[in-house]
Amino acid sequence: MCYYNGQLVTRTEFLRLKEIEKALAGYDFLKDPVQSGFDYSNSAVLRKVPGRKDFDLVQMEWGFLPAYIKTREDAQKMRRGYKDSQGRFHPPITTLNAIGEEMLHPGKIYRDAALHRRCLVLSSGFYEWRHVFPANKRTGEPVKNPIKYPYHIGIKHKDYFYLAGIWQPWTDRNTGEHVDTFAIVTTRANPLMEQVHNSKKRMPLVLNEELAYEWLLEDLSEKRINEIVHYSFPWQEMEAYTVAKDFLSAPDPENPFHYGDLPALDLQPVK
Amino acid sequence: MEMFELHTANQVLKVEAFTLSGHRLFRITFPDKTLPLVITRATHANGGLFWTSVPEGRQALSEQTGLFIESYYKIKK
Repeated sequence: MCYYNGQLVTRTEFLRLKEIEKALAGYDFLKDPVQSGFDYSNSAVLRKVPGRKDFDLVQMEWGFLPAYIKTREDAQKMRRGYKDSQGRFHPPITTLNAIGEEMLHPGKIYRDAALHRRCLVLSSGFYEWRHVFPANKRTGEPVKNPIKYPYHIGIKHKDYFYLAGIWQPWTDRNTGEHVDTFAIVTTRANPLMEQVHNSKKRMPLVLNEELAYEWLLEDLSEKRINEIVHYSFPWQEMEAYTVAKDFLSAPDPENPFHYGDLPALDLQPVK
Repeated sequence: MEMFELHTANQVLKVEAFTLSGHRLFRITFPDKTLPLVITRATHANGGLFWTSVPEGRQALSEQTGLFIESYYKIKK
């Protein structure tokens, strides 16, 4: 017999509680308000329990590593770019996001995961940059290089919401290190995100609760996956505001920051 | 993950219920400066169930909050 929190428990129960402690110690996502994809950090992901209509909350590494990447060194090369022995530079390949409308195309590295390993990424909000081209004071023409303003985007009255994801188990063939990696599925921007992320007009695939659980737990046909990746989360339920340009290193990155020279978003309320 | 609020006599607590490695856990955040609390149901050596904090150290608060969670699920039924 052992004591846990002053309560007498069996050794088996004590070990179970200690196991939870250990699992929780690595469960650090809720402490971090900002996760920049480019540091390939861990995020909280809901993953289906095989054979059951249930899910586990797990941590996964953001940045999908396909099976053909054999080692961490190869992964770094893929993510950062590298020079080969002839001095030729191979640009980085980013796998943080998977284009929803294309991921089922034959030969895509995401296809198998989209069919068999879908997940939900928990988000309390995400950030995108709006590009603004003010008029040149001398010529009156729009400047060539945009001024970029960061926005925080969230769902009104929701502390957390779900982004569609796909995941891939990966093992380093030299060291045996095993990680589960994921990519966030993206889709065409809705009217709000078209204005915020105006350079690419894309957004993460935000799912309502019903679609989120269908995405996670159901056995979906290709047709149904394609329908879901075209879902457009209602922009009226979203909110976007500007944050400081150094938000990535700020202690409170979600704090609103006002830019006097920035034109407001032009969103018409639904009549 | 399931989220709900518990309305106590003088506070509104936010609760996130989730499963981690197969274990059911509840993370409670408080409106004041009390640190967030993670609790779970554990089995006493005598076979009974009790609420406990993970990690150890906040037993009284765990039992108190656990009772609120039980009430929430009873009402929900």
